Amino acid sequence: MKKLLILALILISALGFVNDCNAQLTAYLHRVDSLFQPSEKVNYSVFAKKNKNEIESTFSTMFIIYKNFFSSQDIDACVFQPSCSVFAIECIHHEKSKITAFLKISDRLMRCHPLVSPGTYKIDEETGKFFDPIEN
Amino acid sequence: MKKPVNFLIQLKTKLIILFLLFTFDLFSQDLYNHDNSFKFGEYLYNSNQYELAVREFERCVFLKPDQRDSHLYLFKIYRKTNSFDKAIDCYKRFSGNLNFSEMDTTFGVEYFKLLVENKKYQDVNSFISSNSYFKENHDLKLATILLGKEWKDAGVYKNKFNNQINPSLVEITNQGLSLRKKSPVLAGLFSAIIPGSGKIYAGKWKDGLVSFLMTSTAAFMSVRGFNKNPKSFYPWAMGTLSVVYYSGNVYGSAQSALKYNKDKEDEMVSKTRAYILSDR
Repeated sequence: MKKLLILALILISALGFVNDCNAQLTAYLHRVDSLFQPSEKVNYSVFAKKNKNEIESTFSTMFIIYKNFFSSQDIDACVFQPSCSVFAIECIHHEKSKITAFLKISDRLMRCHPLVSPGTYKIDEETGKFFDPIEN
Repeated sequence: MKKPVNFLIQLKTKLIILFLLFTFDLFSQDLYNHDNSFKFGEYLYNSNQYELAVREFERCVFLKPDQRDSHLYLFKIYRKTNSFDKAIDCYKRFSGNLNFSEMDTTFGVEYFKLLVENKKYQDVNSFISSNSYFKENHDLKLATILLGKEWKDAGVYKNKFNNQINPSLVEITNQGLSLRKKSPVLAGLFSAIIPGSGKIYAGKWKDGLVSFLMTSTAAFMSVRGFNKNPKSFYPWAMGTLSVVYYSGNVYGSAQSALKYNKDKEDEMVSKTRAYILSDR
């Protein structure tokens, strides 16, 4: 089973190369470029101001900790704009039903992979990523 | 004594030359009259220099306020530059009121395009049914039905006036009728049975493959963890993750099917819009 899983993972990464080369290359160059750019300081505490209940406060705190201590140390790997974490916190704030919010977030996490076909989503001009706001 | 006479002759000659110079001016063109401004405005309009063309046609409107064509050109320019309010104001200046039901054909077509350009499809519908000039215009009537995504109604209308309708619209109607929609319930059901299969059904096989691998891997790791050490935290975490992935995938599959249907319908609407807004 382990071998099968490894094989499947190799297959997926191979498919990633077969995907539209230009789009992949542009995204890759953008990513490489961003490594040498000083990252802009974003004030994530803005999201905490929108909290209306305890659930939102808990998730906002988790989001701020994640953004400041984990995400800031990693490369910009998410293929979407807004990123999955921002999408998640926006979902928590905007969706009336928190169950729908969780379903949307888990769906988004599974859609975020390097095999996304160009043309499926609009391209965000600023970041060059696939534009997928919570309204979609 | 000769000097003053010479001086007078010279002065006379100078005066004649000066007079002639002024008379030449009488034969010169007035570049800023109505006709010249209109011609230049037309040139600017045809070469897509709308900002400059507006000035010329506004001058024409100032010189001849009753001239219909200048108003129409202004209306067209404001429509093409997405200035909805200015276009409406332009029509108000021309007709003195905003009674769209009495709009004539040329202005009516432009107003129709203006509404379509601004995606005011409800207003399009009421305008078409209220304006007497458009009651017999089957192309625009069918286009209005297509913009409302009423494919069956469009099919009935097309069959009724088949010979009087533009072939492009007939083709769009046929495409709308043959549209095969995906069922969101079926997509959700597929994903509930085999994770990811609903996404494949909705036309997103890559998403389906990734969903299947992620859900099944998390479930497999959870089962393996329970078999090895049921009291450990690890299998519970993996189990929770697989449940989250699974439910998200079922929801996502249904949403993908809905998005598929919407994208297909929007494609038909875009084609209809392109037909309406083209300079036929």
